[in-house]
Amino acid sequence: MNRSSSQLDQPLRELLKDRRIKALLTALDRLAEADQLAMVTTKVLARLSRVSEGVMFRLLPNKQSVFLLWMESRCKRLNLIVNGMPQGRQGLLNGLRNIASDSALLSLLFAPPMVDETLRLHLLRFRDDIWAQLFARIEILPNRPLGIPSRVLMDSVWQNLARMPRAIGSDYESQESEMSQLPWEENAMENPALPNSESVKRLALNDNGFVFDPVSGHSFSVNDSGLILLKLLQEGLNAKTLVQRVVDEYEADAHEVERDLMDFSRLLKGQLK
Amino acid sequence: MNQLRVAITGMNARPDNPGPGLAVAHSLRDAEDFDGRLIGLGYDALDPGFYLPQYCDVSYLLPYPSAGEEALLARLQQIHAADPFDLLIPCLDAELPSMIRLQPVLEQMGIKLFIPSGEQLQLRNKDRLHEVAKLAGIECPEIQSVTQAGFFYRCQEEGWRYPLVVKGLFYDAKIAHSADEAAEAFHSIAAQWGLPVLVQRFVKGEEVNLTGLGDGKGNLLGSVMMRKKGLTDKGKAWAGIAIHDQTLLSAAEKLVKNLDWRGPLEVEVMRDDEGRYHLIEINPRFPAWVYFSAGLGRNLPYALVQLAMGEELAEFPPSKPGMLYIRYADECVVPLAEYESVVMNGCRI
Repeated sequence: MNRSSSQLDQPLRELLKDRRIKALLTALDRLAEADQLAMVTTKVLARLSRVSEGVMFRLLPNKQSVFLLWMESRCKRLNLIVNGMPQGRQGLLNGLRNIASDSALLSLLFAPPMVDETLRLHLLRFRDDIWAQLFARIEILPNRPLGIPSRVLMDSVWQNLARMPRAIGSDYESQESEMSQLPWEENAMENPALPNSESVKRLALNDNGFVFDPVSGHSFSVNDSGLILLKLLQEGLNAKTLVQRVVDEYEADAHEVERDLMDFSRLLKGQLK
Repeated sequence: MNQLRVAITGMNARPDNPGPGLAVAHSLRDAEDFDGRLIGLGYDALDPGFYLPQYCDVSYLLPYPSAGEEALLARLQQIHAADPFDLLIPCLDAELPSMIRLQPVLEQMGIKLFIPSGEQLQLRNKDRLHEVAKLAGIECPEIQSVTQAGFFYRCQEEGWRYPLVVKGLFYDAKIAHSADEAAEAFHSIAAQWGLPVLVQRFVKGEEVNLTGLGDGKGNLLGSVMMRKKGLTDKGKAWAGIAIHDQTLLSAAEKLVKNLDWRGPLEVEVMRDDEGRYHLIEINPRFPAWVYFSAGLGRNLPYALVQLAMGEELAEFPPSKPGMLYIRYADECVVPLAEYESVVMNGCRI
């Protein structure tokens, strides 16, 4: 039996449509990774996806629809991870590792949102929802450190995720190693990921917090707390001694100092690459 | 050093892509012990170096390289007869092959050059960078000669990935993110610089440059390292910061030692996210940012003059990482008579 050419072409057209939509969503991933969501134009999207603006608007009615489709598909993936996490420490860690190793999901959670009010609110509502789900997991976690509110623990988990590098080609192995334990766990302080001692010692810094690396030529600034930690790191102190020094000298809370040190070390390592 | 006469080429200085000549002249003028006469040489009557007497005492037009070596030699002989000079510093890549071939004749005329040999020059050709990188003990992104734009539509089957870099054999480089962009770059570069065109794997990272002086006996002198902090649309540095990285310095020293490099050079490398260096290019001349060396107390153009004239070099002071270099555009106002003199007589006196 002969079929018409339009019938024969139908599966091919569907395949082509799927590919083009996938290309558009991948292009949005790349833009999100580069923190460019707020500035996306259809022209840029067309260039990156290699789907012309005309074709784009035959597939989807407007730019907002492209963004919504992107958010829905990535939100679905993220929800699957978060909802599918088994209860307990290992389940939480596995879930966090899965999120950390997917730059598109990290961008969905942490990239600066779009200018469009509807899209922005949609995205922020989704982020709040994920935050609440992770928070609920932490609240029922066994062996939580005594005396530290769940909100503080959640805050450190969220910050860890937010600081994961999101660029294409990021070192996922190192990201996974960053997520090998929960930020407040004791082992984390026994062998925290402090930057290489020689790299820290070579840094030139002044009292205003301006830091210059004479090898890479990078310069950056640190706040007062960062400056205190950096000066102590330059003395070559190990993490425990360093935390104790800060606790003694500034009457600070040890848990907060530990968390700050881990966060600061991660940022500093990024600068010293 | 008194009354030495030095001719310098490359007086073009468009803000987005200046030649090094003006920076070389500026460096020599800043050298305390230099009180010589500077002669600017260029190819276009609008080269600003022609009209800046604070740098060049006098300037002359040269015939375009397409006119050939004989025309170049004839013009240099004519200039030398009217306004003799002791040393010639070529500052443009494309001039080097001719200058190397003309060197014996020029030296007979009493004009010294402190430049690499033809063999040394060939070794740093872009299509032989792998060999040089191996000598220096650093990596080099794969590079391949291309003669047809069709390559870019099938290169992924051969293991190439976009983005990649399309380069001219002597000059120009464009980053292409797709086969269409690469083919466009290929045609544009081939039209200007001829075939073959080169394709190089893209290395993600920061561009770091080193400039120095090979003494021809295997030693690298007065090296200055700079990380580009700001680029013009053409990828040229308009801001940079001085650094000191022993790894890069050692690589450059090995390179100079293995090549017995004679003359100025610029080593262009990319520093990837892991801190590894990848050799991108070696330029057989001073870079346009060479005035930075004078500002850092390591006046490389002056050191070249001393070496060429057989003088002892004083020890270079330690490097000064952290010093910043910022290029800016400036203007000069030129009386019609001066412009007319360059256009009609090929010289500004």
